[in-house]
Order: sequence, then structure tokens, then C-alpha cells
Amino acid sequence: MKRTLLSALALVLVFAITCPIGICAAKEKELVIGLVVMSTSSEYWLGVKAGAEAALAKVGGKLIYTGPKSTNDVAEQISAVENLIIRRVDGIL
Amino acid sequence: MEKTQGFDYKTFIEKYGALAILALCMIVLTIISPYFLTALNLKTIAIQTAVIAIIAIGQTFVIITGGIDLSVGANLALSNILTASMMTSGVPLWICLVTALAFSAAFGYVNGLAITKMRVPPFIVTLGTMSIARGIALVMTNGTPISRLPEALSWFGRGEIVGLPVPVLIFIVAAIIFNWVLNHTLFGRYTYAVGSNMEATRLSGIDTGRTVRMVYLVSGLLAGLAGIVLMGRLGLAHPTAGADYNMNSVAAAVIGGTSLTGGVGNIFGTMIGALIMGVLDNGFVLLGLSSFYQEIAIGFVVIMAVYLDLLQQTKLRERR
Repeated sequence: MKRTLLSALALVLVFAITCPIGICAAKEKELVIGLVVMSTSSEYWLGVKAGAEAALAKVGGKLIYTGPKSTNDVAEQISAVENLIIRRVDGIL
Repeated sequence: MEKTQGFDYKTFIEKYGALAILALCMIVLTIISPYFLTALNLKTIAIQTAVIAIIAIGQTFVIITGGIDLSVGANLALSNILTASMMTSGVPLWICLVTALAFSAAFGYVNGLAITKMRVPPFIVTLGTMSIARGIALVMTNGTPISRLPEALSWFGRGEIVGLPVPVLIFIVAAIIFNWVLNHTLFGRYTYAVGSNMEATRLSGIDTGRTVRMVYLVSGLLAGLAGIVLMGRLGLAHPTAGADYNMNSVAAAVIGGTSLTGGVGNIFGTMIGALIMGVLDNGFVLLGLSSFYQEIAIGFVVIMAVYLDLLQQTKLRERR
């Protein structure tokens, strides 16, 4: 009983986290642009993100904002670019 | 009481909690994203996971003894800076690589010495050495990365042997070797013994101090090895590299069923733990989600994995 509950919980959890995106992703054909920054939580790069989103909103596109949490994590930046290439975005900034 | 026939998925989930979570993540991502289940993507995930997976092997040894090594990231960075400056001043590559491993292993051994001889808790010792190593790396470089490393070095980060990426091969070979060490050598058995009951182990005539020092040496050595892979991948040495590696390697071990109270853990589980984090990292970009969501997901996974593991342990105890 407890175990069934647990496995159900695990399932719900994963779906709850991933499902909203599935709905967004269903709308293909729109422009998807990846933005890789040095630090995702820095004020400066959040400003850049807002600008990119505003510009994309005019042409009806979607922005994927990614990068390392902390500055200078070069490995994480490389991974972000690789992942965006596999995602086949229309452009990477 | 329990059905032994057929596939008992409940027992399966309990026994291989981390593996079940990994499978679940992969299935869900395959359904949602057309980009996920491709040979190129799986290869990319494996390469991206390699560095943290190698470090997590050493971290597993340390956590099994009931300790923690917070200095792995800084150890890696300092070892990178040292060897990169040797490389740029013309020292042959193989000497630099041997130095990287030797330095990192010695660094780990010093951690072990401070823990066993000075009797300072591992958390404090490695917190201190983390800060010291990071500071030295920054002083040596003035905070700027060292680039223009020899071209041959990139083989460790980007090379391939019969279609298999070198970083992935290195982490698989390291996992196999250290899995064997942990399960089939005296040192490996002593590692479990020290973590289960330090006093009883000492009273049965085992040199616990030596075992603990060797465990931190292993952790340091693997941090050095991971550093070589990282330098090969980046083509440069960065004094602040690996800042996230301490907590990520601990998380990989814990997701994989290693107990922070010591005595429990295995390399296979840790590898699955590292892969779960790699898959989430990759999956969230493929789905076009902000990386902030990934942190939330990792948090849930850590708690769920440990909970599944505890259920399994309680059940084992009840059977006895």
C-alpha cells in the first residue's frame, strides 16, 4: 500500500515537473533562440534576458535562457551550448 | 507473503531506487522531447557527466567511511593550474599529467593526515583545505585562466577510441577498477568496516588511520584524473573551476544509495546518481526550461532516492 503510493507519487512528481513544458513544446514552428550567459542569476545577464525576450516577443519567438549558476563555470557553458545544438534551436546567442 | 513470480515492480523500485528514477526520467523525456533519445544526445550526456562521475567515485569511498570531501573541486582547480603552468613552460605532457595525479593524490593524503592525526572532523578539514587550495590557485594566476595548452591534451576531453569518447571510457574504466578495489581488496573491505564501526574495526587490529588516509588519497587522485579530462575538454585551466563539484559529487553518491552515516554505498549506484543529474541537466535545456527548474528537480530526486533507499533498509532489517 505504502509502496504503491510511493511509486505513484514518484510518477506524479516527474510528470508534474515535465508536463507544462510538453504543452509549450507542442507549439512548434515558432522561432526558438537559445541564450547562453555567464551566470544565470546575475543582474546584468537577467537584463540581457529581458531584452532578448522583448525582442523575440515582437517576432513571436521563444527564448531558452541557460548557462551556469555561478560565473566562470566554462564547462557548464560548453554543455549548455551542446545541449542547445542537440535541441536544434534556430539560433544561439 | 510476497509473490516471487513475475515482475514485482514494487520490489524492483525499492531495490534499485536510483535506477528506477533514471529510467523514469529518460522515458518521460523521450515522450516529451523528440531530441532526447538520439545516439548523439546520449553520447553528449555521457561526456558531460564524465568529470563529475569520476570525482563521485572517490567521494563514494570517503562517504562510506562516514566522512565527506569538500575539497575535491578546489583540489582539481589547483592541480589544473599547477600542471597547466608546467605545460605552457614547455615541460613534456606526460610528466605534467603524472604530476597532476601525484599532486592531487598527495593533497588528498594531507586531508587524511589532518583528519587522523589532528583529529579534526573531515567536514572542517576539507572545508579548510578547499579554501586554501582555491586561494593558492587564485594567487598563482591572479584570477585569470591559463590557456594555449598543448593540442595533444584535448584528446582526453574530446578524443575517441573506436567511436567511444575518451572521457566516457576513462570514467567507465575508473568505475570498474574502483568497484573491484571496493569489493575485492582488503582495503575496500576495511573502508566499509571503518564506516560501519570505527571502534570495533580498530579493536580487531586494523589500522583505521591508514585506511582513512588511503581513502582520502583515492578521492584526491580521482579529482586529479577528472581535472585532466576537464582540461582536455576546455583547453584551459581555470582557478575557479569545479566550484559546484563538491556538492554535486556528494549528491551523486547519495542519490546512488551511499549513506552519509557511513558503511553503506556502491560505485554502480553513484554512477547512476551522476547520470540522473546529467540527464536532468540536458533534459531541461532540450525542453526549453530555465535552468532554475532543474535545481528544484534535483532537490526532489535527492530526497526521493534516499527515501526509497531507507525503505529498502528498513525492510531488510525487519526480515532479520
